[in-house]
Amino acid sequence: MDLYTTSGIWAGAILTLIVMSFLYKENPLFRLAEHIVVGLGAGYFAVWGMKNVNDIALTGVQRGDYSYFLPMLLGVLFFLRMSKKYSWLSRWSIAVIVGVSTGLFVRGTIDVQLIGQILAAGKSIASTDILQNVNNLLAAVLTVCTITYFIYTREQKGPLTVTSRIGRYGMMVAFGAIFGGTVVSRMATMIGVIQFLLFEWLGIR
Amino acid sequence: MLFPYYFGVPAIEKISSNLQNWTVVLLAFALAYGVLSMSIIHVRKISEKKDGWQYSVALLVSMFGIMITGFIPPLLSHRTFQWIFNSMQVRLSVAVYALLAPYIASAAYRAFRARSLDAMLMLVAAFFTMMMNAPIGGSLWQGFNVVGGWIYSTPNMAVQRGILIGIAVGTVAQGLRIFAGFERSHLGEERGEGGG
Amino acid sequence: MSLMAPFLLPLGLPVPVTQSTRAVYDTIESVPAGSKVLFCWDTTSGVYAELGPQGIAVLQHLVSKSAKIYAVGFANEESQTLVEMQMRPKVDMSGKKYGEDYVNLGFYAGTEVSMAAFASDVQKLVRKDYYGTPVESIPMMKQVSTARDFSLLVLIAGGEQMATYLRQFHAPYKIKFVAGTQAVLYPTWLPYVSSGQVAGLLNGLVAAAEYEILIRKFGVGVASADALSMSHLLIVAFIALGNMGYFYDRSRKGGAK
Repeated sequence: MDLYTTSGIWAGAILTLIVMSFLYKENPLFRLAEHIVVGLGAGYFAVWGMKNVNDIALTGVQRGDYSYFLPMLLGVLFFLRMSKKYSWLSRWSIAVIVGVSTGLFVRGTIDVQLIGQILAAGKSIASTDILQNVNNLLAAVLTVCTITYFIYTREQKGPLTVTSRIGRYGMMVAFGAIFGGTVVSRMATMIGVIQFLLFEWLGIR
Repeated sequence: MLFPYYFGVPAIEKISSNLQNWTVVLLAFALAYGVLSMSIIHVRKISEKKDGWQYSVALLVSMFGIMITGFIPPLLSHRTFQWIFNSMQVRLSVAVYALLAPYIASAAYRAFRARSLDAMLMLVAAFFTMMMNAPIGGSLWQGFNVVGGWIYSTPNMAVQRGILIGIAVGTVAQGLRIFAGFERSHLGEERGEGGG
Repeated sequence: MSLMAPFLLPLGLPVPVTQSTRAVYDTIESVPAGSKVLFCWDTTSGVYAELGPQGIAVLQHLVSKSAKIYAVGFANEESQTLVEMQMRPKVDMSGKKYGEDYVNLGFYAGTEVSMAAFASDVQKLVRKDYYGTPVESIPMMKQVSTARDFSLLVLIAGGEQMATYLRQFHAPYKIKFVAGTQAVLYPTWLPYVSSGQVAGLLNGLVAAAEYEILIRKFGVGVASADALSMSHLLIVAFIALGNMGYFYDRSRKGGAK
């Protein structure tokens, strides 16, 4: 194995062990690794930011699409957030970002999360498969009960108490399912670390 | 953004498409702004020799190191950049995420108690879904897959759907508030300021 | 130790394939050769250990189906570098040519905004690929103009990406969708599978193992299966011990009263 690869593996292993040392006790080496990962992430973001500006805007301008001067100007105005006197100019940039993002967000939410999910909640309970009918009915009831749990504009009394309690029990089952998945996710990341240390660093097969 | 989605008017679609592209460029500037902001904070910390200023040096060195190597043509492909990314950034990120694993084990032992009906329901659901997720579960007893699968696809799915619908209603309401100008916190104003 | 031991002494425990994984496999299997597929492995390096094996297995399957693969990211800056530097080297792409069978279009800032811009006019947003090559000199880019040109979108990500991608790709353009996510998010993404908006959903590292078995190319997923099983048994044991101790203490205090 060449020096480039070996040095990479050793650097990765040492940094991994430094981070894992936090499990014993917080220490200066861990804090150093913490700052390094934050710095690397931030620097990496800047590279992509500049690549996007170059590939989209500057290339567009080179090809004669001068409208890209406008977003570049707005982008520069964004940096004026740091100035006490001129920070109000950066609000134009933020307004464009929020306006466009919100419009895109709202239009898709109505289709995907509202209409799509409400229609899906009303599945057939009259099919020949009795078990599926029961499941569909249970799911529809639980969906409604979960929504009633989050009603804050009416006092939760009478029938609302019953439905919100059913919703709460349903949520406990859902949170249990999420915990079941959380175990897999967390163990998977640790498995990744162990595989790297055993197979790539120590060469155990 | 809303009008061309519901009404197919080519001229407005073109304006909408242009706006979207411009906003991507604008957001790319925002990425660089984050770096500038962080640099100022840490340079100030170093110059004032505040507690932990040495770590700020490491942060700035790593930040500019990956930036400079990333910009060497061809972009994002230089060997040094690849080395820093693969050996340092990926390894550190994975290790930081992996720190959570022992805490899950600790939480399972210390906190996950069947103190009430709610906790019991959560415990039973967690048990069956864990055994379903583990490859060995299905081998020990097929029932784990059946019950775990039912928990995922019926009660869990129904509850998540209810939560999704609730979030969607809230999101649309918040979006309408932003369009109508009632919500201006993203511009740095408190509610009620500026005649709103 | 329960995580390390299975790597040193493999147990070879069976890995049953779930219906959820099979749905994703069957959808990709039904993709005709030459179909344009959008491959969005769009997450951070922190969860690479869990979602990387999924991405490698699915990418391998797409390559074996001779699909035209367009890799792109919108939500996480590290995603496409991980695809190029960590995942692609582990995929057997013999006989395939970059620019004709596979292209990486890079990352575009803005998540929802960049997705919408890409979906409405690909050529307007994408001027250069990941490596800075102008798209005019990439043969497979001549055939795409909007999201409608893609037969399938494969999303492997975490967080809120499912909803975001569905909002910008599926809702306006009705593009067929399969996805993979972390096990912790699998329960929250299931409503989209139940509603038919997503054809199939992969569940964490276990699904990677299952997928490797289906495509008959074993990798990190299968290698991790034993360790996953042992770790789960350990957690179940911890929960059981904790509760036994709790109930014993409660009965003792109840008896003392």
